Amino acid sequence: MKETILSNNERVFVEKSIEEVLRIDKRQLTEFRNLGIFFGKKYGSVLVSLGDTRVFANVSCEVNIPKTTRPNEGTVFINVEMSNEKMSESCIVTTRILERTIRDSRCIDLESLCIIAEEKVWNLRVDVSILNNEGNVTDCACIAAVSALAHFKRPDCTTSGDGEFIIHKSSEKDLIPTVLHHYPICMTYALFKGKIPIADPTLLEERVTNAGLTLGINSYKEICSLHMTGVSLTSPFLIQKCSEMAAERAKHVVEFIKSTLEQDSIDREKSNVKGFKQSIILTNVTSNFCDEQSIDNNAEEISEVASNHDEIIVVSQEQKFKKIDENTISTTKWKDENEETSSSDSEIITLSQSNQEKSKVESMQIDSSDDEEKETIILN
Amino acid sequence: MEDLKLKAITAEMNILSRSDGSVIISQGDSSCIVDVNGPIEVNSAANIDMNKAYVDVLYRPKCGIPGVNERYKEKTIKGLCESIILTTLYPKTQINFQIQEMDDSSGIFACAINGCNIGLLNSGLEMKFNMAAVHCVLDETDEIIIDPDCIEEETLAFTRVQKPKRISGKYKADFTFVFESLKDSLISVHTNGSFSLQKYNEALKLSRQACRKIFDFYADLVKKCSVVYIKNSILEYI
Repeated sequence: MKETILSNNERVFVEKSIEEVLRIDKRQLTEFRNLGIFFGKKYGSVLVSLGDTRVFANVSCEVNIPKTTRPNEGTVFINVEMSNEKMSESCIVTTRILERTIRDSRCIDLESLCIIAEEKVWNLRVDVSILNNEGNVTDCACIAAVSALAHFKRPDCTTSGDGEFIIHKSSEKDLIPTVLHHYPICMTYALFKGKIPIADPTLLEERVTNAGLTLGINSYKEICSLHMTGVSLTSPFLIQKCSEMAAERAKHVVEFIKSTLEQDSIDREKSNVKGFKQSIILTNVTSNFCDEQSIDNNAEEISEVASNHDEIIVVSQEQKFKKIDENTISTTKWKDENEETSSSDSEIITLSQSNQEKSKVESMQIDSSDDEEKETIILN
Repeated sequence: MEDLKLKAITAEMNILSRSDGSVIISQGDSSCIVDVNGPIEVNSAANIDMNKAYVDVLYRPKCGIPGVNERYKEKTIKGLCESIILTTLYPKTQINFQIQEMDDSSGIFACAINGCNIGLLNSGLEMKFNMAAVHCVLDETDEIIIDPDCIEEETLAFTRVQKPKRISGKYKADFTFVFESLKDSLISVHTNGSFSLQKYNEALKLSRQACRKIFDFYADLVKKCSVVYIKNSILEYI
């Protein structure tokens, strides 16, 4: 999708209002937008919304050969896809930030993903799909990826000594959750004038600002990754200040993820899983719900024209001619000829085809009459 | 014959702020997000059509990269959308569809088609008629089940193995019928497995009855929000 042009007026307006500690969406400078996490019916899929930004993430697993340098560890692969654009620059940047925050911080216990050392390990794949970009995609994608990993459960494996192993179905053996040592969360700040950091920038703010700071931080106040964009004169104290604020926020986010996961497992125990339906707010005017509806098998209210048109009818050769006879057209001569040539007893024809046959027959009839004038009139 | 039921449908329009039309739809346990953008500039010169709009469909599977199955769905949906949109009204433009599969417990294809229709209603593009897709299967005892839940084996859901599209064990065949709203006539059909002609006709007849319910659902959805739009426009007028 083509980006709209950012006007100077908009730029000046946003910059000035931030100097006056005001934001266009009435937020405080360090306030984040509302976060929503919705888990799917199956393990490992999640829809995260941060304000109007929406990201879908899904984790899947596959048995693979481990890396030769780390023969007893599983692997993690992160793939980010943006809507509307294929492999853009921002897409690659987001992928790298997620890789550094989640994979390189070693928050996943990769050794537990090992089935047989040097031969078979689990390979986790995180597919992150950015559905709507309303600013701060990185944070949203990171929360989605981490909560999907925390929600994911893989099938159990048993190994026999001679290098063979069995992957059990969920009905045979309970699924195993992924072990996460800590939950690293990305926090983005946009820097204005090099000294005013604003949390969770919207798309407009992201475009106006000349520098940004993304911190990957966990609930233990440990910085896992740091990414800076743009050019700005800042002081080291600012980064320190930002990281302190981020650590505070990360704690809340992790708590929120954990409480949502807990709620989800309670729902699953009661076998009351709503899936992505729960993200739909039914009180909105744009939403609608319709409960299970039974279909009346015997109702005959459908229009006859439509039903006759689509149905495929098997008509044997004899029946076919019976039908034609019903239409009071006597074509004995033609019938004999046709019987000689046709070998199959039955063939599939639609009703419209049979109509075509009928018209053929009519033209045949006309042929037999000698009057040439009449023939042309009817054929037209 | 046991009682035939259409799964519960839930949908919300306008969930993505940056798109012209968007919807999250869930039919039973299958759900997807459809995002419609158009008419926009054609992205490659080869696709410019002087007489009508070019329709582009992108189907994103839940995990992994799109394969043959996804291409097939894209192609079918593209054909359907080309026929229901008044494409001649938007010459030299492009209409984009993006479908993100979220949960698949059978009938995701029908769910995606219904989602595309609601997305179009939301986007404000001119349409000739509505379409509704109904999924049904034929089980081993030759009974037709409309809109079943979960026909796949559970273990397959975790891994990225390309799901075998052949019908296994419990079910003989599956059908996806797409109907238009004017005369309820069939505009597309997708079948899989083996079945007798009689069963096909029977399934078609049942699906046609089921499609009416989906059209009613569309009508309710539009009615619900149009009341608000009309109210607002009257207030403006006063």
